[in-house]
Amino acid sequence: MYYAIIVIFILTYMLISLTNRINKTLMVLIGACLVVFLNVVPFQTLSHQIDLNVIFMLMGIMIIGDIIGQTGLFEWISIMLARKFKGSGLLTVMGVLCAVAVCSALYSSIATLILFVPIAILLAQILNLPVRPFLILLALFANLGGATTLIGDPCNMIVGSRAGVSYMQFIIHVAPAAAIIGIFWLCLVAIFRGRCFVAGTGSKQQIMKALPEKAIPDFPLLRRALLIGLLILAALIVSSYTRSEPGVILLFGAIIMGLACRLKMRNVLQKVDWPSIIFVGGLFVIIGSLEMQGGFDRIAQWMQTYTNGNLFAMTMLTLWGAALFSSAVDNIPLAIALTPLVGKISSAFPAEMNTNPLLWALVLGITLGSSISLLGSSGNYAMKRLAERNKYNIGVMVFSAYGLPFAISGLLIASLYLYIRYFMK
Amino acid sequence: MNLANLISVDSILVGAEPNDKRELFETMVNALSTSPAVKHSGLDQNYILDAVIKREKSSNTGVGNGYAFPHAKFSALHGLAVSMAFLQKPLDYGASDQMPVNIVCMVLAPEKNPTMALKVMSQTIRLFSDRRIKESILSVHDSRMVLNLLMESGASSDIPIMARDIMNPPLFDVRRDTPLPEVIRLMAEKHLSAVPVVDEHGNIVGHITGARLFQLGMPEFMTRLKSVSFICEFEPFEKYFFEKSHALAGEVMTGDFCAMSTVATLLEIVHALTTRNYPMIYVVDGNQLVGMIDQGTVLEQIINF
Repeated sequence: MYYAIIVIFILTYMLISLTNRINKTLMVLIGACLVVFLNVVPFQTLSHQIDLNVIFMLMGIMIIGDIIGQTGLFEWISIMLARKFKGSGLLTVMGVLCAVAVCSALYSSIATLILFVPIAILLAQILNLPVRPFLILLALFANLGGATTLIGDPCNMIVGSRAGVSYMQFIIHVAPAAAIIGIFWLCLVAIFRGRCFVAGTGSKQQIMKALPEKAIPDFPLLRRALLIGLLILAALIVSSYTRSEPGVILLFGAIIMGLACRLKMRNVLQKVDWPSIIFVGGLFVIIGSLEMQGGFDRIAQWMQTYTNGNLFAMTMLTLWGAALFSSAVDNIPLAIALTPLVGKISSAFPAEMNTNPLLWALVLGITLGSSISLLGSSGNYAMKRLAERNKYNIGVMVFSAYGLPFAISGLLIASLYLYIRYFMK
Repeated sequence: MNLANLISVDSILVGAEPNDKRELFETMVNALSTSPAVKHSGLDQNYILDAVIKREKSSNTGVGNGYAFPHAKFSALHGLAVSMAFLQKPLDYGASDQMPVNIVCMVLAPEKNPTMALKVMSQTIRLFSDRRIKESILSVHDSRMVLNLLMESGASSDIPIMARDIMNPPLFDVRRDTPLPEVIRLMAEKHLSAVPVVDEHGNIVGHITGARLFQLGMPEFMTRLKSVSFICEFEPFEKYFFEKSHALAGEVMTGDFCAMSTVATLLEIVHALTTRNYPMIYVVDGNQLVGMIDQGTVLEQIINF
């Protein structure tokens, strides 16, 4: 059974990583069904493999993201920023990048990116800015912003739920690193890309004529959605004190938001991307079965041996190793696979040692690694498809040419941050 | 019910030579005055004539290929009254295909059951689409003989309405290499929601819908914005329209059209137009396009009959 699950794991991950022609959810479902049919683990334990907290968080975020997206808020933010900066190309781009990062932190980075891409293309066309670099930078900053909070990225949900990390703990430990990296990246944009983001005079006049308030088709809807959103955020912040599961908060909050926005329950539930939920659930079954068969023990042992039991070395190996894998494998299946591995590694250290830096290294590594290539994140791929539909083809090499310097610089900053914060005496 | 049972000898007019539509209608209404349904209804001839003319003015009842079906509905009528006229000299009727009319079937129907009239119309078209029967009937100069021929043909008014009964014939030829501006002009002139694209053999290979044309003119990212009201001016739209104006029909057409055989039932047609949301049904014989039906056709010929 051990070798059976290894084969299923490798085949499934290869198929979902190497090709986009086969439906990924179908592949994972087949893999999970094989696990069941081969009785790799008892069927009764399957329900324990699927982390319902993550499933509920994903469902909640999908519903909230769709409702917020309908309000026109992102269009309003983007046009407001462009007018605020009086049509300056570089400042508008930098402003929108900051907005994307913040919105990604507050809720799903993938949904934020999908909603920002159309308005970014519009702004770029009005201001005569190059579209492809703008969209690639959007993806990078969305990924970075999403790393900041528990709910900003599905990977964080997976890692946080497994490790029992609260919403505030994520902010306290990851947000500073993300903020520093974000500021550094903005400087990179200004210094190295500033010349290409120059708007024409006529374009500036055009943007000044825009009416941002008209981007909001329904103000009462926006007010209701934002109010409930703030309440959800508050509940997440205090969740460690109230001992509430973030998944329950998000799903319940999403349903309340849907009702407050006068959506029918059927319409609310239709906003859930069920293939993605099944995809994640199936991965939990495969990885959970691999873990139960001791699949991660050997890898953990090898890493312990390689680093001589040095926690800092292990943290760096986790950071850079996760980044390397994340550049080739979609970050959600990667997070599901690496989280139990990091758990195994942590348990090998003495109980009194704070091994949480491994978690932060994993989160930052996956996030920054997904900036290296289009394959690294579902958000990157969604951005590419939207761009292609508008005749802006973004190839793998083009993306990597932009993403690699940002990723390397981010990883260096993250390494320094982790050292200074957790290991420097 | 046999079609012949709905008509009496007195209501079959052979060799008529009306000068205009009004004269034709007057003659046919006069012929119908002796039918049992009209007698029992107590309707006045002038009243009936006015109703038929009013219906004709609202929408021409010439269906093409030389047929016309003037008709009207009456609440006082409890059964069908049918008259047929075979014109000696074809009459300029203003039909959609501009062809003069030489076979006219007037139907007076109960207001509560107008589909009876539609079935008579459908069956009459089917009957006369058989060239042998048509030539036999047109060669006869006696009303009684015409009635006998109708009886012998076994034409029944109980057969469901089919695509071939209500379709509009395709009046234009859009090929793959037809310039897109020409297609757009055609759609605008004829108020069409979709046009078929055919090959050199008349087989349908694709279609171009109004929605598709709008999509071409509208950048894809625009369709994802919740509102575009905040944009006051946006010249780049012109770029999109300019690029597409040089396209050919074959480059723009899509393959997601709905083709049905000539014997597709009205239920199938309405289902395709509503539940499956097709803008146009293309009636094909084999693969060859022979007719088109859209929501307007169904509204006009069925609901507003």
